[in-house]
Amino acid sequence: MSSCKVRQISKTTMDLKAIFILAVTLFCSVTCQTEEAAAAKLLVSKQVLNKYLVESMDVLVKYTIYNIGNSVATNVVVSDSSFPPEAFEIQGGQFKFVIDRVPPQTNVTHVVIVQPKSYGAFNFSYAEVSYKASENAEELQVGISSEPGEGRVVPYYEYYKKFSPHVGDWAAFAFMTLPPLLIPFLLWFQSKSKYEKLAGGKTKKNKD
Amino acid sequence: MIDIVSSILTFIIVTAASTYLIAFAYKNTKFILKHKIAVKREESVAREMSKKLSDDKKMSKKEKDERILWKKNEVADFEATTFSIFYNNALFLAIVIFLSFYILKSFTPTFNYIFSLWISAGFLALLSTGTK
Repeated sequence: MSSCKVRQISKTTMDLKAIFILAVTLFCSVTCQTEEAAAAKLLVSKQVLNKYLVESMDVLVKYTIYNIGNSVATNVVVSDSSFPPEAFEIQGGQFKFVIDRVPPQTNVTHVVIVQPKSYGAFNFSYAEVSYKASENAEELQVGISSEPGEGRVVPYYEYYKKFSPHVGDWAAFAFMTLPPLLIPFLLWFQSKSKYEKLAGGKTKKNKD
Repeated sequence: MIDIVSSILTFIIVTAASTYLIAFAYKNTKFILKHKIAVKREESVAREMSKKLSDDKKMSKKEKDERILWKKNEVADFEATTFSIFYNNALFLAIVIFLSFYILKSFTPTFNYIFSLWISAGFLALLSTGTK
């Protein structure tokens, strides 16, 4: 009888222990989740918008920042050092830009226009981003953007050959082909109209 | 793009062959046309010549007829030659453009050049012998 009681007590203490552990775990996870949810989290994508990368023609690079967290991200600094100045010339925008605040669930985009100075393969790598995960955060959060990957910059003459309307070429072609068509035609037409006129005059006279 | 220096031999051969074929087509077309034109122009040439020679009372009828015949031949020759050149040139250009831009579009420039010129010139030569 007594042994049975002891067993019962120990069982209840074990149950209590389990409940306590469960409660602590739940509490912990909830607090952790709320902490995490309170922080800002930025996703940065870097895209090259051009279909063709052409030497000395504009290339559009678009940075999209999306805050998936539930808090505002502050002091967002995006810097891209993957475009060496000897290979690219900036036409518009900046490689290092600061956005004061990115509210939660919000997009921010920035576009940079560059012109490749020469042709060949080029690896478009990532941009770096640093921000404060909340307004009161002390530490800087650091991340990197997605990588557009390797691209081939084609020489301008190759692109021109493929996509230009070739107005000059066609004009030269017309200039060269018109004389061998026009000269014989005009000579023939001159003679033809001369003799047809003569024949026509006669038929008219006959009718009269 | 075809490099002119390295493919100069191709240019010469293709151009020479197509020139020969086109000249052949000119000659044949002219021969066919000449008779047709001669018949057409007979009356007007005779009128023109008799008007011109009417002042010359000394000339015999035979000589006048000969002159008319000669003029008729000359007019028919001239018209046939010019029309044959015009017709063959126009057809050649049209076929070359059609072939090189549509049919042989996927070929490399060198083969596109060779085939479009040879096929067009060959077609003209064939056409000129076929129609009688």
